[in-house]
Amino acid sequence: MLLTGIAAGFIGALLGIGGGVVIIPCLTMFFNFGIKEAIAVSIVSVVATSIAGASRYVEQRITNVRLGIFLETATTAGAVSGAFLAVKVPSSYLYILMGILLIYLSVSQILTREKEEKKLKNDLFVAKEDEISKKFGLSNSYPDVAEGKEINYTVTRAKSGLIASYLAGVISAMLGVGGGIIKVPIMNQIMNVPIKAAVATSKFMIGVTASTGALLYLAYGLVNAEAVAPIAIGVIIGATTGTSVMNRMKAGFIKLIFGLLLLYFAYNMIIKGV
Amino acid sequence: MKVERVVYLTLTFGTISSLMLFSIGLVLDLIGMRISYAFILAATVVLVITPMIRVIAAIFAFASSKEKYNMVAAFIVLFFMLLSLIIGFLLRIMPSG
Repeated sequence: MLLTGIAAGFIGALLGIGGGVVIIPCLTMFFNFGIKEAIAVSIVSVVATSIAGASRYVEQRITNVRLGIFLETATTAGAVSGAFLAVKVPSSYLYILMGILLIYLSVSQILTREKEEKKLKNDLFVAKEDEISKKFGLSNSYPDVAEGKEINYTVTRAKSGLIASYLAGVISAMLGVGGGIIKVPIMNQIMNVPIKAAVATSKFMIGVTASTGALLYLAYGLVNAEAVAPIAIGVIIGATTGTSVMNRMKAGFIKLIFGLLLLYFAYNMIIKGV
Repeated sequence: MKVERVVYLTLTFGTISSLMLFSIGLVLDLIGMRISYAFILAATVVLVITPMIRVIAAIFAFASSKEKYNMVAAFIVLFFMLLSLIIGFLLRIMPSG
């Protein structure tokens, strides 16, 4: 279980996701957990991975705290609406739609690898800032270890990013996909945020929605104490290790593995839908 | 204090204290002491309330640096976090992943 946690924490830190995709199948397949129990342990560990990873990324100055909190307004609002809708709307079409969207995001992540590296090299992440980004002071910079320099970037299309984040929150709550997998592409592809800053900011954000879910599971006594301790310890170790590796990787490589992961999620969604 | 610093301190404190409590709980569990449950429960509580405390800490940090738009944003986040907790308790809606 400790190893499951370490693996999930490590992958989650590299890609800005929660790691439920690793933990839930491991617990149900290898440790004979029921799905509800597995989700309860997983959601607590998503909080662990988020706070452990985020504390390192904030220290390394890769996380954009203002952007994170700005978008959290939409994801938390979306999560509240999604929880209501989940009871009413049949979800099979939604799974298929989500699958198609993820395929699109996957292909575009993989195809924009070279473009991203070119933009990093030639400082092309600086663009015209919109009104909202200016008001909230969203544009930022981060030190890119692989490129060996400080990368300045301007946050654009803040309104579209906010709307997309709201929808991401709704979909996450309805389908049980962690938010990270959608938050990273929203920041990277809509809002002109370099992939590493998007990963670190997503890592920072996922703890907020997961924590309310985890509190509910905890209050209803559904969290298995014996499982949660080794998993959480593993996740914290894995996430801390992952955060020291991510910034040394080339942005194109991160986008490639992220794109492949999106494809895997798309496959899962479509299988559930049909 | 800058918001990044405040957030960093909150997250690090939450991570380290829950890691320590989890480790003590795990060791006690391995040697078969029933009190282990209390440590693991405390660790889990510290862990899951850390993001909420981080949002509250950010509100204060934005207030002290007079970033009113960001302060309002952090307030909204806190509001929706509390709302989803209340709705979850009232309707017993459990998140699915």
